[in-house]
Amino acid sequence: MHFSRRSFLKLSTAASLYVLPVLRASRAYGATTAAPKRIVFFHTPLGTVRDAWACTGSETSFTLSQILQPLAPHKDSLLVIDGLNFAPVASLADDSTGNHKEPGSMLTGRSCDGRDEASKHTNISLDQYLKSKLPSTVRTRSLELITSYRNDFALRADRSLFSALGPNLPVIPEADPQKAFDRVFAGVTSSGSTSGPDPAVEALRLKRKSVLDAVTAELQAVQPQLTGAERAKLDQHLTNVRELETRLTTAAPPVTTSAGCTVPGRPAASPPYENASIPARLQSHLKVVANAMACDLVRVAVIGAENGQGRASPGWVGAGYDTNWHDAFTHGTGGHAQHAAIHRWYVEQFASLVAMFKSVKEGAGTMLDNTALVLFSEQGCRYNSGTTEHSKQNLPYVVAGSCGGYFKQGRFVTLPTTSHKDFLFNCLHAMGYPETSFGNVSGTPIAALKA
Amino acid sequence: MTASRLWVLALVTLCSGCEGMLEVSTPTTPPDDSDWPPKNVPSTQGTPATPPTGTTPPDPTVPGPTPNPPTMTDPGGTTVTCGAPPAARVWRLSHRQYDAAARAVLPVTSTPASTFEAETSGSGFTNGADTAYVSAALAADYFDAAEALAAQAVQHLDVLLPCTPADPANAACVKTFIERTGLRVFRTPLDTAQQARFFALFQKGTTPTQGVQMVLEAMLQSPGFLYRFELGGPGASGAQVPLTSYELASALSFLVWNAPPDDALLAAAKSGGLDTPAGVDAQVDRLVADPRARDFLWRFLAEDFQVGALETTTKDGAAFPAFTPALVADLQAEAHAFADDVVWNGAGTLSALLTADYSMLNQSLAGFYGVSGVTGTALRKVSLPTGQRAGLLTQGSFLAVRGDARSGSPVQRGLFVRERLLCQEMPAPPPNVIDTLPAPSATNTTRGRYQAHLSASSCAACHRLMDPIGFAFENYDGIGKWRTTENGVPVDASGELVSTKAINGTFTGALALANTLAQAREVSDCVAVSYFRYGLGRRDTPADACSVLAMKDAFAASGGKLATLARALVHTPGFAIRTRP
Repeated sequence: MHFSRRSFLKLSTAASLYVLPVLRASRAYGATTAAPKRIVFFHTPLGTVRDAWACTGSETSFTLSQILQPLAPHKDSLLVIDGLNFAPVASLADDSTGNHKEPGSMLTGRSCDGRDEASKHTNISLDQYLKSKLPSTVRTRSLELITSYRNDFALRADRSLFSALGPNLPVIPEADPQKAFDRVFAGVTSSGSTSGPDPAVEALRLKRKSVLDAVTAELQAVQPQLTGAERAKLDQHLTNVRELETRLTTAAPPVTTSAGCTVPGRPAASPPYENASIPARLQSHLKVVANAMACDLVRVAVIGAENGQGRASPGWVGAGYDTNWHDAFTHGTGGHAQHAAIHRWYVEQFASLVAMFKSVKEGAGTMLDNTALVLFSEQGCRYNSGTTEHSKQNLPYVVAGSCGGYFKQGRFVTLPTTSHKDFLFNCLHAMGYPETSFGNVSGTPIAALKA
Repeated sequence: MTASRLWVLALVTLCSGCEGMLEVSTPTTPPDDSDWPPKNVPSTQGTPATPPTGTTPPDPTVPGPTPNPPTMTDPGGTTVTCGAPPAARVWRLSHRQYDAAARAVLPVTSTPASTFEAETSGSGFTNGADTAYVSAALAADYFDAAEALAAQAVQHLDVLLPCTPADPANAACVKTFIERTGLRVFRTPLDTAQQARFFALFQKGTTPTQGVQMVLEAMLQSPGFLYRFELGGPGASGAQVPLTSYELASALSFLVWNAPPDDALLAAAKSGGLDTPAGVDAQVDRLVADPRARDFLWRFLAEDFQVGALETTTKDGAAFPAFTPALVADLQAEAHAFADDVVWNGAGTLSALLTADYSMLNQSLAGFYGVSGVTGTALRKVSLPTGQRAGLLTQGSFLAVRGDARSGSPVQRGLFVRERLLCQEMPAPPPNVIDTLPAPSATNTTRGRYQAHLSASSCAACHRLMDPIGFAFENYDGIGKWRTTENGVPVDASGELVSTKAINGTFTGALALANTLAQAREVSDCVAVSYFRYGLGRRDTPADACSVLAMKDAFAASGGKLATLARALVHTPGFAIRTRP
């Protein structure tokens, strides 16, 4: 649920200050109160370089690869997965989906419709499915973030759309760090309490309720005229207006939190497509996600560490990297070392997210114990020794955290050729929903990944 | 056999699919449009239409769809079966349309949509209808914008309220305001339930002015404002019904202006002025003649030629230090000004867009193109160096977008011609493709590097359809600067078109290629199809066969005049008829 910051600020100015009492009932999770389970999908674009990615050794005794070295402090919490393949490719030779629609298939488990675009999803994505299952007491429930998104005249922007509410209902990820922050924390502080009923605030609420009631009636008058996909659009619109009305016109219940809950400062403004500030936006997003989950305001998040295209110029990796890295390093006979170095940089950022989750005490352990942080890419592996690209094989997946004891820890699991779709069912079960389908996709979890 | 060899075999099989990709369609006889709306209803399937109802009083002068031949025949005798008209739908306004609509109907000047949630491009263009809906984030954006716009608008009660003095405490005045403003905001008259709803809302204001403000806030978040309706009148499932006259008015104005109907168009909808072909044509001609028509056509061209993507194109700073934000802004402005000049001041044709020997330059751009004697920052019409530049495909905007970070890209440039000008869709690159393309260096040439695609049979099956076209652009580097040598080697800009309908052959240089393309009926047809998709916010389907043929024929018959595309689309069968869900 998106909370309108501007709307909130108006409330703030109408009253002296109106805040939601996040810490009022601070409570530690213990023997009698189970901590919530959370899941974060952390995407890096354009796959990896096999020779620098693959771990060596056995399942229980393995050596982290060059790219995964930044995760060494967390090795005991890792599940490194080898052998996941892009699901719609039954036999790799028959793949006609191209390499541009995978982003929209990674979390839905189904190939996208349309041509060369990833916005025409054919199923609800797992994150949105999980969101729909979460109790409404979780205030924001999900976040969909990215560090670089701009609709650039229909050229490739859709490749950044991982999430969908259903067929043809893409969820646009938020790239603006302030808006991302506001989705969770607008109206929330870590120290205050409600200022109590204020006549001006109450009047504003009443006014807004009247306006949105009229909007709802207008939408309901149109609904019966539509069926199928057109009706689905209107239904979604109506749902969102109702949620907005609830948010804006009723006082949210106090948020019960664990001890680690703090509200970070609102991040600095940053143009959501400015290349140089991608690292800053990514760190900002990670902090928002970690804090939001520590406060149990969000339990599901998708983070695009760059975008779905790999067309940033990652000069922050080092000298010689200030170039469109898709063009420079992922095609042709060269670029393997740079490709690996860029992927490693993203793994470093992922490692910082792992550290954030480990820093929050929860019960006898940390928040990481109750979370699955999933590192993945929409592409598979290239090889130093060859020149393959657009690979759909051996997608680079790592899970940090067991999600409440579900996933194996400290393991390097080599799977027989397995669909990435099945992994989504592991995630579904790990989160406490042992179901055999979500949306129109069915599957079973991969047993070898379960503790 | 090793896995990699198996791959090569698989790829040869896959890319042999490139051989059969020719689009099959040929010119046809234009549909008979003496009836309105134009229609393609098979006589065996036609369901008697229900006249438009709802907010529009049934008008006995509106002809319902009558049986019509279900096929069209081209001059060669090939018969194309016409499908059912498109399904009824709602089409959410694009963000650009939102701002235009708010400014058109209320005394406001802000453009709140510029900070709305980003849009998708589900149908290949940013205005695709299929994936445009109101997400949670967008609902909140709409809420904020409505509050801001309404607050601005009520600063001008004298403009808003249709009475003197403009007194919001005057109930009769407010009722008239709701009726009149509602008509403009919703682009159709409010029904009695809506009028009552908004008046009841007005009464909930703590002051009369706040009541007016609340009415505007609700209207701006209502489906009547946020969507274009293409439902037609009521009818049984499967019935084919004409758009109501107000729906048609919106379809026309958003198509031509990217903005809502003005008062004259709404009046025509009310008076029956859109019930005849002549009436519709008169309105379309009026809209096209208005300066507001420039916006939609430019958006179409910017997206179709993808020059709008320049702003988000990234280059290697070491390879192209000249590719600065200032150059990007100049190149974008050039493309826009050039297209506007060609379409509205010049020949107006697709051919001119592809071959005009001038562009719109300022001093910086003149330096970029090697033209002397241009000073200042303002763009003006300047002749281009003979033999080096002509038309949009030789401008820096197109060439930079269709270039790699460190070099030009024969693949990207050839792919553009293949897909966007010939309307042949290439298969996506196969998985695990073996790419032996060497990296750019000081000792190789772009053409030399890309020859790798053509020497490996597994690559050549597809790349022969792209790279030899792209080679025509070898006189331009990755950002479009002219060159006659690359790393000391004279540029070879010879190329070849294969697998076309009528323009197979060799040529040398982009100007020769552009000349060939400019004269080709298949290119004209392709642009007509692209406009069909953009204008309707969806890809064409087999059911659109007759509409697509009609579109192609009308565009060709106009001599490729881009400003006629709107009228051609309005004349297609099915533009003004919908199949009830």
